[in-house]
Amino acid sequence: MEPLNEIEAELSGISPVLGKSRTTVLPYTVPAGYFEHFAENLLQRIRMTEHEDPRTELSTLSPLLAGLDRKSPYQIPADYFNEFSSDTASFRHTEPKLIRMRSTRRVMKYAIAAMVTGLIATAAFFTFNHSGTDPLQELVNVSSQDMATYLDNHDVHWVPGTAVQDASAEFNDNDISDLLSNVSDSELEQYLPELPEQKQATN
Amino acid sequence: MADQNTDNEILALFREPATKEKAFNMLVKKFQERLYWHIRRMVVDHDDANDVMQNVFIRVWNALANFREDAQLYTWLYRIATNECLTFLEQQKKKATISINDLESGLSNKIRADKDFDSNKLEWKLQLAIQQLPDKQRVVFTLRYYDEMPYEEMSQVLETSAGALKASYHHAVKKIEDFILNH
Repeated sequence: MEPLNEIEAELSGISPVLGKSRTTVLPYTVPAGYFEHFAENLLQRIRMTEHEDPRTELSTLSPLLAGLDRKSPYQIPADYFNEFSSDTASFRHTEPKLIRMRSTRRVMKYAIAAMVTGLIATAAFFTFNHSGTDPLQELVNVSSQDMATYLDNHDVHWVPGTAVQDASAEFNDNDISDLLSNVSDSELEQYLPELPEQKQATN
Repeated sequence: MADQNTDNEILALFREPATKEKAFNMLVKKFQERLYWHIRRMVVDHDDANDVMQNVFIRVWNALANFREDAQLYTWLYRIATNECLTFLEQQKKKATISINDLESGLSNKIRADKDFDSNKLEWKLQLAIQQLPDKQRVVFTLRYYDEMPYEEMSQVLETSAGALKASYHHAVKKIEDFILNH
């Protein structure tokens, strides 16, 4: 404890108001006899929590319970414990099957790796394979010359500016004769009845 | 010095199994009132103070055998008591999931609920003012104002430098003065 004048001088220096009216009286009250019995009550609590003899503990807590017969009223089947020990002895001789526990952490690692791979693959697919433009629309922008060059290189015969429906107009009688040169007369006769009358008249 | 001798006697008796309880009884009787009021000023309610007191002395019972005599017994006891108070107040905050301001007003409400509460009396007004302080500042103020503890000893109790404690006390006094003048 510091000398009182030092405490009061310090307090007055900081706050003259508090220094002048310093009161150390506490307004709180304590139940009667609290301090007289505190030590003994505390020791009793400590004794109860200490690792002491259970019988002594019970006799302190309740002499009535301590005086009662501790015999169990429950019954067990005859020879239960002998059978039980022989059963457990037989269990001890069987080698238990070792089951490897899958590590949850490892499973989680694989799951996360799969998710990351999936995300990367999806992102790559959309980046490289999905331009977001219509391929037919792209063909419109290809020039006829480029198209002809491509078809020539790939052995496809096409004349720029000639529509497919106009191709039939290029056939003449000689072309038809060439086309039918390998067809026998009997095959033609079989085919003729299937043609419309106008076509037959022409032939 | 006489106190120190008695402390050593208590410690010597405590280390003997045959006299352990007797020594502990002496120790409790010697320090109980000082520690009780220190705790009570912090937690306000008597029942709470009693719970904290019991926890403090149970800790003392478990640790006293290992107490190093190079430290003062009473500063060691104050440290345990202060830590128990701060832990108790922290638990109260967590239990109720209330803010620090709510806890302070809760402590103020406990003061106002006291059957002897009289707002015109300075000692009650002072208690209300003390509850406005943050927990650690409250400890510093009460240890200096009520227990008249030197800063060097307080420094051992709170494990804070004497300079920081002086500054804390200064702030606390100013806040209390302000509260008393304005309420």
